[in-house]
Amino acid sequence: MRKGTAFALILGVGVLASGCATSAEWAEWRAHPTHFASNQHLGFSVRHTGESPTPSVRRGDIDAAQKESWWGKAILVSPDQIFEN
Amino acid sequence: MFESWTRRSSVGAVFVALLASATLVLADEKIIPTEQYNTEKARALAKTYEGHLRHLSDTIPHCYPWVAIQKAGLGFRKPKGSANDDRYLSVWVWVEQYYTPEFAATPRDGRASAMFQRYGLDLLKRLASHSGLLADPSVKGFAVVLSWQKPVASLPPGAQPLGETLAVFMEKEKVQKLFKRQISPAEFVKASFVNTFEGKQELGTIPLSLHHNSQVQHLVSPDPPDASAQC
Repeated sequence: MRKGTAFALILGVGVLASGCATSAEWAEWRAHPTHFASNQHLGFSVRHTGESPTPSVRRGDIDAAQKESWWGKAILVSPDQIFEN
Repeated sequence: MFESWTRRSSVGAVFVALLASATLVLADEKIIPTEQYNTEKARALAKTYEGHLRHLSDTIPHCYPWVAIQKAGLGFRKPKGSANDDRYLSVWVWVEQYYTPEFAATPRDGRASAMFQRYGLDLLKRLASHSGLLADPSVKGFAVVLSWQKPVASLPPGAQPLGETLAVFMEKEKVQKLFKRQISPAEFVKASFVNTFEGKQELGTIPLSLHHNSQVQHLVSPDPPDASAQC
């Protein structure tokens, strides 16, 4: 009986621990507490749901996507890998 | 009454001047500062064609609202590792693009070709629109660098977004011949230096596939540019 309780306790702690986020993950979540960057981002996403949505992109969407990083900040090559001044 | 009008005019003039100077600063950020060049030849070119650089910096964002010139993305650079001081009028833009599922499913070579067909050729026409520059022996050619976000569908779940970059350096004689249809797009590509990157990783050259007057169906752009932009 005591062995069973201890096993259940260890199992419970294990399950809880595995479900917890790391501090880095929490920091990332705090920086992006919502799935959408703005109402405009939400609206754009809603307009483009489904199997093959008809694209409807407005100029304001592009401006907002750049300013609000809708798609995240992409890793990009640095100029000195391409050019010399 | 007159005093009030004069005061309002003065305030308006100051506001307009401030706005103009702010615009100028933003425009300047897109052009490589002269002091950042390593050779006198490059500095002289930047000074000679300052007006053309400013014109490009002003018109490109108006004519392609979905394209952003990178900071210091416009100027007379040379390819990395070039032994000579060969100068290319270069523009580097970020393309903010909505991807159709067809585009996202296209292989890397196809994506790069579509991007160059859609944006690269037109940017190239703008770079080469200065007759004095075309006749200047100090200018070797033109470079167009396009970056865009790799379609999310082709990344592992949770991975940081990656930028894909296509850099094309072209000699000005070949560019002129292409636009006069004296050489085929295939001959033009063969004569150009093409390089690609994924994130920061260099992938090397790819076989670009270009066509005269071809529409790119899989790249959807937003509203057309302002009629007032005189594109």
